Parts: sequence; C-alpha cells; structure tokens
Amino acid sequence: MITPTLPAIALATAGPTTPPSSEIQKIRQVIQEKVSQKLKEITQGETDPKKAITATIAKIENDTLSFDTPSLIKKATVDDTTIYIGLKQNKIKFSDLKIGQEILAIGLLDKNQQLAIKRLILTPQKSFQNPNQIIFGRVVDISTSSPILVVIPYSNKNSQYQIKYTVGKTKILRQTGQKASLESIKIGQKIAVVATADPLSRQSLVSIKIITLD
Amino acid sequence: MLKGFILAIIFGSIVGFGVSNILVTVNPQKIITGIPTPTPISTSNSIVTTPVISTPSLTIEYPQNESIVETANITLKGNTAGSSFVLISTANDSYQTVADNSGSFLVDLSLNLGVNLLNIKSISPDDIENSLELLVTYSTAKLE
Repeated sequence: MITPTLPAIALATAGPTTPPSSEIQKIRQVIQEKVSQKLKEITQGETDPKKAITATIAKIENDTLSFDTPSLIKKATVDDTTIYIGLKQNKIKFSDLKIGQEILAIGLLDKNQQLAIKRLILTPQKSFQNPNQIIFGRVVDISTSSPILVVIPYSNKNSQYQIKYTVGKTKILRQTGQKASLESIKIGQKIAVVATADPLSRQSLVSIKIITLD
Repeated sequence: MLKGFILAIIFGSIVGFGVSNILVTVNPQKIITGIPTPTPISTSNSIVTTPVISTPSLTIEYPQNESIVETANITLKGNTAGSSFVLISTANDSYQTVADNSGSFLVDLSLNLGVNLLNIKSISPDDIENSLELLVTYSTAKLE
C-alpha cells in the first residue's frame, strides 16, 4: 500500500520546467494513478454510519434484536435512549416487541455490522414495496380491438406480458425523454415499460410509462 | 545337461526381454507405471484460450443501500455497461437516462419523506439486463 505523501503529490501535480523524459513521465503516471486510487479508496470507504433497515424480528434477547432480513445487518442493540413507535404512531416499550413483527430500525452502524437503534418503528406487513415494475422487452403484438400491447421481456423470453395502456394517461416517450405518440410503437420494437399490477388480471400490467428504445 | 540348462536360460531371457520390450513400445504408460497419470491440458505448443463472457453489472455509488439522506432531491450516481439505458422507479415516479461510454450515469430524483424503495434497471445495447433494489430513507431527524 502506498500512502500519498506531500512529495508524491507535488511530483504528481507540479508542472515540469523542461520536457520530461519518458521514464519520468512513466513514474509520474504511476504515482498519479496510485494517488487517485488511494483518494478513491478513502472517499468510497467512508461509509455513513447512519442506517435505516426494514426487518422482521427473529429473536429478542435482553437488549439485542436479531433480524430475518435480506440486509447484511442481522443484529441490533437498543439502549435507554431508543424510541419505540407503534403501528398507530403511539409510543411503545421494548417489552411490547414480538417475534415476527416487521420494523423499520434507524440507528448507527458499528464496526461489527451491528446497528445501535435510535428509533424503532413498527410497520405493517410488506409496507415498503415499490408497486412500479420495470420491464424491458420487445413488442410482439398490438391489439387492434383493445388498448393492449403484448411484450416478451428480455429477462425471460419464455414469458409474455399484456401491457394495458390508456390514451392520454400513459406517457409515451423516446429514449431521449422526448414525447412520442402511440403510433410510433411498432411490432418488433424494443421498449421499456413502467407498470403496476392489474387488479383485474394476473396476466396483465397497467402501464404508466412506455419508452421506445430503438 | 548343464549346457542345455544354460542355453535354456539364455533363450528364455532373450524371449522374455524381447516380449516385454515390444509391449513397452506399444503401450508405454500402462507397462511402465501401471498407475493412471493425469491427462495433460494440452500436448501442443499452442495456447488454448477460453472465451471470457463478461456480464455487465449495475452498481450504485450514491446513495448507499439502507442509507439515510437529509434532502428530498438527490443525484443518484451509478455505473453499468457503457451506453446502457437506465430506468429508475420510485413509488411515485420514474426517471430515465443513458449511461456514457464508460457506463457512468447520474440521475436527479426526488424522494418521499420516509422509506423509499427504488427499482433500478439497465439494459445494454446488446440487450443484457441488470437490476437492483435500493432502500433509501429520507429523514431530517437527528440521531445523536
């Protein structure tokens, strides 16, 4: 590991008074690369200790909670300053917590990847979901009788989506962000769709935005 | 009698060595070691190269997953395959951009107060798709 030192930085940044030989240029380039790499490491390595995770309580022991969560943070601690908030935005106590409850835990992460919880909020089941799905695919059919496009996604060419659209409501855009018309969508075209689940049909999605990609 | 015995030994030796020599020539490994030897990767001098299939990835430099930000309007910074189309959806809106040749991209987006689950997807010019989810909380509350 090379620690950037003043002479190294000076050498890397100072302009030569005489044309440098190829060797000096090489050394300068190496030092510049090392310095920029080190700076990158320093800036990227600084992780903000403030974290907010969603989790399901798996275990409660004294002042420690264990989580069932896709997050890397699997354990957390509480102390006298921790604030607990219930489902009705009411204040609750540590003793009110139960295994299986979904929570939002906000706190500070320590070196052992353990979260010191400052605020613990009970949340309804699956409350933090993004209803807006993104699909990249190719248009294989356009219905002439109803406002529906049939799209085969690139992620699974054995499946297909029926994409419903509403004239005047579904935004049609080009890749550049400019507005486009429904008529510009053709069979075989590559598109991106932002859509929500259709409450009326499992096979279809209701599009919010359709973007033509070619 | 003794002469015949010596002649028999000499003849037997000649026949024995001769047969074993023939067998060694026909199937050297089996005879010499009797133990299977590892198959060499390549017996020729040419270098055999395996094509490397690189799958472009999608990474987000800022904001970090499960981080807390103190402003609603942030600039998401990420990297993916060069010239990919990138689409980000929040619960209320969606944002699009095209990554530069090196794959870097920046997107200005607006967060809701509280927890935001961002769906981020990119598709490369050769139709390789990448996706990830990012949990970002917008809060101005002090933790200390």
